[in-house]
Amino acid sequence: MTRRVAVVGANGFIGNRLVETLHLGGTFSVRPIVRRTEALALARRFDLDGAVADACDGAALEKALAGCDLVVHAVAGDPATIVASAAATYRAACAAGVGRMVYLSSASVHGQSPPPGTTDETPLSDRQTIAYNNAKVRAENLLRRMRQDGQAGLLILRPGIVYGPRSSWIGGFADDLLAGRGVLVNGGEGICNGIYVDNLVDAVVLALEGRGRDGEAYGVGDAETYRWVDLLEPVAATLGTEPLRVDVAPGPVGGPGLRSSALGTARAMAKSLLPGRVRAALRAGHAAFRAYPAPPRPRRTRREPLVSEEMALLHGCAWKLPHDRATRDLGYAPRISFREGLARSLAWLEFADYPVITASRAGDGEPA
Amino acid sequence: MNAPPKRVAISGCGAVTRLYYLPALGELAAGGSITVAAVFDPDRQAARSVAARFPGATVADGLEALLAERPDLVFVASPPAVHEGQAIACMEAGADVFCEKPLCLSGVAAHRLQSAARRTGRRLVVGMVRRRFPATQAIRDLVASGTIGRIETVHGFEGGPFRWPVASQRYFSQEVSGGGVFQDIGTHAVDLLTWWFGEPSDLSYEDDAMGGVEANCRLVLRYPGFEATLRLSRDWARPNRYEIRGSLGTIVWSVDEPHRIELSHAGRDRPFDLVARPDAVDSGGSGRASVIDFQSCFTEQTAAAVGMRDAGKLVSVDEAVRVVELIERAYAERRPFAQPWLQGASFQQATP
Repeated sequence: MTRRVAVVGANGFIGNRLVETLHLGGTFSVRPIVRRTEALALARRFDLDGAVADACDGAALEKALAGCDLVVHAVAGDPATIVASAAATYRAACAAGVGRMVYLSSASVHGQSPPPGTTDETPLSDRQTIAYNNAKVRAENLLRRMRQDGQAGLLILRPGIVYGPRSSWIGGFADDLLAGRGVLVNGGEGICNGIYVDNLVDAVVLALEGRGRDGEAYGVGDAETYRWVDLLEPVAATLGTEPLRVDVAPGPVGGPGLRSSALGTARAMAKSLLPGRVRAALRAGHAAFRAYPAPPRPRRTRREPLVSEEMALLHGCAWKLPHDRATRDLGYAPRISFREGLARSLAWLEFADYPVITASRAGDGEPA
Repeated sequence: MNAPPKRVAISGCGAVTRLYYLPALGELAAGGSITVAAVFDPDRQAARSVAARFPGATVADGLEALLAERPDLVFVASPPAVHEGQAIACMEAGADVFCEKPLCLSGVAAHRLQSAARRTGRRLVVGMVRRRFPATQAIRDLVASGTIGRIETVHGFEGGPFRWPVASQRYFSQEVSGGGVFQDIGTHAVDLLTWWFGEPSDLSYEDDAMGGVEANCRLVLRYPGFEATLRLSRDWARPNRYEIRGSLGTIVWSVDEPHRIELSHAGRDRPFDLVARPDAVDSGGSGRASVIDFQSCFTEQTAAAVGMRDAGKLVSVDEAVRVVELIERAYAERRPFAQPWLQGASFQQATP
């Protein structure tokens, strides 16, 4: 009998790809769970019935998980939500008789720039400078404690930089590039501990199939070692633009701030400067309109620093996190090469209506 | 002597009624030009909360009970799948109808509505609020006058992560909505494109529905000498704007700016902002000039529907039929939208 998998956070980048893959794969039946009904828009491309539940609301989750054999927690959120939703989902999974919960933690439990030698066995700290990392550490610790008394099995995955179609690392970076804010820190020479989203989905499927040791956490990543510039520069090339290159000295990171450009606010009436045809058109039908010389439009009004602490640490990473434990226990082997994953991500930019200048298979040629 | 207030009724108390019709009708009722006689929604609580805004409004048990209140005009803002049945029942009961878009879900149904309007002698108009935007009216005139020369390309993008507060996931179904993002936003967009450029000579259409309703689609309307491409999404945001490139200039319109367009013209380095004066839209019954925004245009459309002004600008059933038919034709010629991350077997499976 086909087992039913609930995906909590089904409208997120990873959750959505899980729903796509599990549904189209046919091995599992899928129940997408989202916080608001309207967030089912992508899942409803398939004729899939979803459930609506706040991931921090145990009672609502228990109802949503009824009849499910397995659950994947793919909820994004602020630090408080990360911890609360992990606990609520595990508690609801136990109450609903779910066999196993797969929790998507993050490689950032080791920090954005893990020290050389870091492995899955390295002890974790919840006193890092970045709140997200601490929340993921606390969620893992809490889940392990809950597992001691809970009925549902638990498996934790720690993906690094998950990229692919709809990821912020691709689409968000494209938006930043078009706004003149796409940055490579120190040339992007640091190691990117990336994982193409389908490789992560494969690891989730292995966990859903019962592989791996109960309560254990597994780092997962792509097979290849590559740099940030290898991931991000092709995004810029596809858009015909260049990332800004910002050098940040090692040490405490504040990052150079970006001054928003001061916009001229004075708008002189300028009808007399209009071409004759436009003047005539305005006279004919648009007495209600006034013409102004358009000021340069603000490209972005965000005021946060151009380089965040997180970005500086990521782009300065000097260690490729291993995934040998996942290989040994889960049978994890990255199926999609970096080259292919990147090619699919760049092709998505065209799908998403970005102004690409090259063919959909931009980057470095045909995928392997 | 002032005319007596028009008796209006509302069928459908979902998000569009709550967010837009309530402020518009509230303003008209406060000005004394209408009274809301009755309200109906199968979700009685939703109907009650709308009726509470209008003293004396009855919460009807069904459409028949609503029509028993003898409204002059019914606002049909129910799910698209029931527009046809409700609008015909209203007209047969002697009421005019203002139908929220889309008019209905098939060309056959649209023609039945057209016939019913003729047979009953009632007025049937369709809510196409964007026609009230000074920006869209200016685009139509600038294109028609040849101001930007011969049209060369047109491109529009609308959408982003879906945030419309739907009541049920059945909203995302053929049965209730007749499609996904194309049936929803596409109705507005196709109406504008055909209003600006006329009927296309040909079209092609692709979307990402895989057994359900589409979240992404791409429509290409072909005209002699140019193509108009429309990309709609409930998935990923890009700037929501239209760019109309002609041999002498370019018009850029951001959808969230009802009052403003940007016009570049040959020989000018910098574009012009064309900004409508606040009194270009006369909001509701107040007669006051106000900020031109989506709601003021919506209120103006509602005021026109109750016969206060500019009724000639309303979109007639005859015009709406053409949009319904074009959307139906696009769906009929649908091809799967290539999703490059669905490789090999999974893509084959997704696109039977």
